[in-house]
Amino acid sequence: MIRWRAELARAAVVGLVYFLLARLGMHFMARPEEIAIIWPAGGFLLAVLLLSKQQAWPFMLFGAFFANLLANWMAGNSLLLNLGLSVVNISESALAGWLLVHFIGRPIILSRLREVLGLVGLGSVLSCAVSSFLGMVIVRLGTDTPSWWLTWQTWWIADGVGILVITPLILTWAFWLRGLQTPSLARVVEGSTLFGLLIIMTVSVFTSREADIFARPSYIILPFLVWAAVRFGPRGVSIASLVLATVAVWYTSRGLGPFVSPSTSTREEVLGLQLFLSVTIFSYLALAAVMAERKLAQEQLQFQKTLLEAQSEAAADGIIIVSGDKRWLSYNRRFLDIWGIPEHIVQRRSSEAALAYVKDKVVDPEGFVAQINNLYEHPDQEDWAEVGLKDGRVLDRYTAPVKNASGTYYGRVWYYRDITERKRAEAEQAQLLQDLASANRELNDFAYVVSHDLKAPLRAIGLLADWLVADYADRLGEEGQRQLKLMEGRVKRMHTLIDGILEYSRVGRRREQQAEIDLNSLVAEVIDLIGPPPHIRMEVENHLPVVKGERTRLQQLFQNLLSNAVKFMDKPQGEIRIGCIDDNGDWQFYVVDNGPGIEDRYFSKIFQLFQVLSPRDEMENTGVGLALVKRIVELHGGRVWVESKVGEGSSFFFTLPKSKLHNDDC
Amino acid sequence: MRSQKPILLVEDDQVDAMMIRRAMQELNINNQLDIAINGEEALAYLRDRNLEKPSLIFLDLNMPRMNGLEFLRIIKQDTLLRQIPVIVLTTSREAQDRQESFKLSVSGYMVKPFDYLELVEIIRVIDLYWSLSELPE
Repeated sequence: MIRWRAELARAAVVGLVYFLLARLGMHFMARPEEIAIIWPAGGFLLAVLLLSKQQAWPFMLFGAFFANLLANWMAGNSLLLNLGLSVVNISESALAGWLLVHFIGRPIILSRLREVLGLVGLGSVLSCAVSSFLGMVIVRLGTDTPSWWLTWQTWWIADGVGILVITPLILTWAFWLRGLQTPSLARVVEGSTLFGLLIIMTVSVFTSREADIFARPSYIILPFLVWAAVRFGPRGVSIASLVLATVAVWYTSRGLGPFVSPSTSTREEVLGLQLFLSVTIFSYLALAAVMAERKLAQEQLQFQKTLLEAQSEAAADGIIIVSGDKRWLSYNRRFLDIWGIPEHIVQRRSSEAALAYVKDKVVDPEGFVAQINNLYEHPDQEDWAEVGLKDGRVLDRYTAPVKNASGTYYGRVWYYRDITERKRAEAEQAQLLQDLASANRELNDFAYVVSHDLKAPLRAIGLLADWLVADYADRLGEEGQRQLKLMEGRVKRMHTLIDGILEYSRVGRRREQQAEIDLNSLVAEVIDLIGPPPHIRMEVENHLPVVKGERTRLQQLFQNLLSNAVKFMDKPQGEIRIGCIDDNGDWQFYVVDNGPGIEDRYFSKIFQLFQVLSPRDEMENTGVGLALVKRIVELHGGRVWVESKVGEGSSFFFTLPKSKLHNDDC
Repeated sequence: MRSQKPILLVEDDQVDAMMIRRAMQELNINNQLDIAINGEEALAYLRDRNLEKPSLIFLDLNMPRMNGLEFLRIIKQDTLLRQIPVIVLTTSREAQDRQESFKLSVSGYMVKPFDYLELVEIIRVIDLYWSLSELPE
């Protein structure tokens, strides 16, 4: 999106500054031949281009173009010549900008050596050579100049120096405000001292007479540039360069300084100065870039180091890395704590010393040391082991070689973790499981024995009652016989009750193998077992699925429901229907009968243990059946309930969850 | 039964013993029924030279002092006594008991039913079998 107003405004500003710098450059020409020493405008334009989006370039180039036209016109050149020169000047920055963006990329802040080399090579040397060549051609066409080579050369190097002095200044300070931190007092003092001394020195060099000590040029300034590069980086160097260039150009253009002497021509003097400036600034920018790269690398290293240390200290394991020649390379606090290694051993950083100290804390010192030495002899081996300590702790140890990407072996890393708690918990758990298993077994045996021993006297009572009736019928009479019969009935009931209780207690405690049970065949078996009387019709209405469960339990489940339906049937034509409905994640089974029905208020009561609705004498009913059904259904993860209408019949429903493996239908 | 020798019943429960005696009477089995109430008594009876060796032994397993299996182990070591067919008549359904008994070479293992009539049927079948089959002596 081109925002015209903003771009035009920017172009105008660029144009303005360009104009001023162009005038400045023209001002500092060496008299009397009017040879340009430096072309700052070009450097400025290049910097601005490098800091802006490529979309904005056309505007800025146009702005500079017009500024150049104006500046040249004020210098009194012909219009045609003027146009040509302006185009060429602009093209220098445009070409340099394009080359740098294309080959070096952005951002360019001269903190890397490659950026400095790019600026110098592609900018100062290449682009300036090309544009100054074109300029020279135009000038030659327009005026009479002594030598094409000299014109070219002067132009080239003046542009080059312009870039070297101005562009770094702008590029390095452009983002200064972004990361601005208030510099410390010490730094401000140092900076001020440096630049103060630099100015003084430079001025001294350039104002001295031939006979003075400072007459030998320039070299005395170089230490200050080193100081600027090392302590203040690219920004420092760019300011120092500005100072140096300003003073040098000022005085040389007035005929003063080490580059001026009666024996040299103006041209030679200017060339000397320009070369001095170019080489010096390039060198110290390069130095500053290398220093900046080094600093960055150090910061990154420090960051990684801090990260690693934090990670190591936060780890749950005690970690130590030992080199191939058994010296400690790195360790964390937890390692020292685990082994209780005192400071004086730590300082020795010797694996041997540490081993000698800790080995007696281990349950099997010889084995421990032998194992460790063995692992050192086989550097590529990984190993897991548990180490028991004499104070009762157990450590989990893992060790592996430490190698870099190209396979260089650095040493071995050891991880120690205190697993005493875990071991103790494991042992406790194993013990609990064992206790549970044996308690279960005991309970099972107990239940069986109890039921067995309870039944034995029952049997005797039943038999004796039976025999009494058989042998003494005449002496007992009707009443006596009836009473004995009742007694037999009670005996049978108690029998069934004991069996029922035993079964009830076994559900969930005595587990079978879970298996895939085909309910069709199971229910068919149960119906067969029950053997419904002729007046009762028992029918399975649809295809029953295969479910996962315990066979005996499922059999008991159906058996209880179906035998109940038969037992309580009060109609001359009994109908019992069995079936299954698909209910999303479950199967819903029903046993529907046309029996006597059950009142609402008893719907949940009937599933309770020992609950019966009819007087117990009417039919031998222990009230265990439905309780058993409920328990079995719930064991398999389902629900059971009843719907009923008194007089019409009852419908018993229960759900069984669908097995994840089986995708059967009903 | 083919033989008229006595039948030894090793059983500690009085009512169970009465039950067997009654069943035999109903079936008109005329052999004399001798009863020992535990393994020790049974051994003493068998080792008594004055007494006739029985043709058949009905053995209960759950008895005090010496239980059925211990008794069985001992008589099966004896060259003479081991010949007498032993039929285990017990309330125990445990697979363990069953397996042990057959390991000790019993001739049958009957679980005492709760129903008297069924017991009579069992005794009848045993009598029938041992009327058809020969006995050692």
